[in-house]
Amino acid sequence: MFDRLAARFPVLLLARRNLARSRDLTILAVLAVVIGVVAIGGIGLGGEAFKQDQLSAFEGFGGTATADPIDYEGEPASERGFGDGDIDRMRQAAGSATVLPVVSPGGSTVQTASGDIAVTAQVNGIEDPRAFYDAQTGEIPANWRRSVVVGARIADTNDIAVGDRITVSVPGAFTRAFTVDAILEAQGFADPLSADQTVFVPLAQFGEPRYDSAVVRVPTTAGDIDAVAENIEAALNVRRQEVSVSPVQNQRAQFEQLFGTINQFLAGVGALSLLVAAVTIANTQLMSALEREGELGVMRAVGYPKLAVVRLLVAESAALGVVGAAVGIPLALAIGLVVNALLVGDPLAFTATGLTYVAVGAVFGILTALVAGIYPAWRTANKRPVEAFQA
Amino acid sequence: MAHPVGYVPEDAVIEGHDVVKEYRTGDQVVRALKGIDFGIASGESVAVVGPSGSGKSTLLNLLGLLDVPTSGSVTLYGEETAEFSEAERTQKRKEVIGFVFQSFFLIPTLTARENVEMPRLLDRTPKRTRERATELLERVGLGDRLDHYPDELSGGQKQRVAVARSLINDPALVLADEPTGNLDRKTGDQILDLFDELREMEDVAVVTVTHDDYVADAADRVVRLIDGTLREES
Repeated sequence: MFDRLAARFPVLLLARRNLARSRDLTILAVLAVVIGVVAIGGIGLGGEAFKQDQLSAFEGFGGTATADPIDYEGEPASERGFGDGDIDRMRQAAGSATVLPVVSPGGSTVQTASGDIAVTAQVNGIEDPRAFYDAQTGEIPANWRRSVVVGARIADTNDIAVGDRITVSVPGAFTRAFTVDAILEAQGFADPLSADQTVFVPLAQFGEPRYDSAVVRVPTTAGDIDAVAENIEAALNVRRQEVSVSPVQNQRAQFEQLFGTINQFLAGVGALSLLVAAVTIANTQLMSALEREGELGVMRAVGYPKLAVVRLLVAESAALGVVGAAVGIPLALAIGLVVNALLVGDPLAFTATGLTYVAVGAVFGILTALVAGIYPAWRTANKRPVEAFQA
Repeated sequence: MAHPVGYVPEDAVIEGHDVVKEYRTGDQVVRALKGIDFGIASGESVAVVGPSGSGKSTLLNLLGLLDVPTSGSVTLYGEETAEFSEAERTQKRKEVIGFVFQSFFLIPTLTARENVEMPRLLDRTPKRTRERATELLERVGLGDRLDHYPDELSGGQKQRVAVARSLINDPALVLADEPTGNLDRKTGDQILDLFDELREMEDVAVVTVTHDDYVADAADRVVRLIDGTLREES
């Protein structure tokens, strides 16, 4: 097949033979392109897999939003956050959606049965965890007033088990020992209450509190969380801005965008390696042209136009790029397969964006090689054949 | 038959009148040719001899359309070469002139036949080119070495390939720069015989530049260059 191609494009024949001549240099130059293509494609695919993995945490939160109070300076503590009246109005505005008020006292500490402080634990007071969460072990009692339930990660890292007694201390409210009734299933970082890091205490323990936030959730089958969010804001923000409701999916979108930007930046860093490839190729071609000055001079003498010599040399460097891309693409895809298997659980979970990175890497690789070859080619072709003659 | 100094044949392929060529090296101007007349008729054999630095290479470059004179005129079939664009000169070189070099300048990555084809490789007539290359290699006695690479050939064989290459475009003029310079006497003789044979068969003029008198003896006409001026002898 190559013979037929070479008959049609004799420049290819010459280019291939020349590249074969300085084999080591050719391999190094190709390798530089391969590294660039793999860097861009691999980073793109890996980043996409990472993004998919992270975004999967948002699954199951499609109908969830968080409502945060807007507090004003000079407002007395008794008016900060949400009161029962606010929650009632939200519930009215929310229709069939559930509104779950939350107390998140700052500075709380959790001490395990063995006396250790669970450093990263946070404490949230809610009415009924069953509205949102299922127990991994133990059981959340129907009338939940005197025990605590613990998030998966906190339980795991601090060896907290169902039946343990742990001490929860909330400054200005209480310090009490509770029995752990349940460990919750893992929720992922997208959970609006960060359940995995949380020790949930019954709201009743807080007496008559102000609420720090509320979680709103529409029934999974029917209901539009965006509409509910708007309704709540419309109902409460009459006199002035009192509440801001943000659906978890909006956070997901922001998150996705952030990931996309980071990924582009990283791929850009990867693209720098193509710059190195360009230098390598330019160097290879300059040396090769110097070595062949006599031959190229003869070609010019026997009637090869300047442009034909440029074409020949550029074809050589472009061939380096094409081979580099041809080797780099499968390598990048192989990296993608591995990363997809590790992070997403499906080796073939390629995204269009991820594959675009590979394509962009390949195209850049070829273009870089081509552009890097232009200067040496032009320089060589512009030598007068007579100079080559007397070499 | 003796010719006067600066003899210009009537049916010249290429001829020069009052040709001056100067080179600038730094502040100095070197006058390599000091106003010479010359002409090469079709089918004749001319040897250009002279010590190094006498202007031989300069004359060769002018004859090969690789350079143009500083003053005076060099015409190819009556057309002033200085008025050609570079692309036109390239094209004329291809159509009219073949080159043979002292150090062969074969492309090491191409076989003997591909080297002979090389000047016509871009013509997209691969079949005709191949036939012609094969024919030429057979004629120079290398019919059994078509697919050998240059490093598999002896010096004499390489120069035969180069001679075949110079003829691939059916030139009117072959310029040979010290064609036997890198060969032993016996091999050199064979190459000179080959030139004679080909000149008859292909009706091509051969200009051989040499500082070797025995090479000059083989030519119809000898042009002696000394210090940029001509002395002709038969």
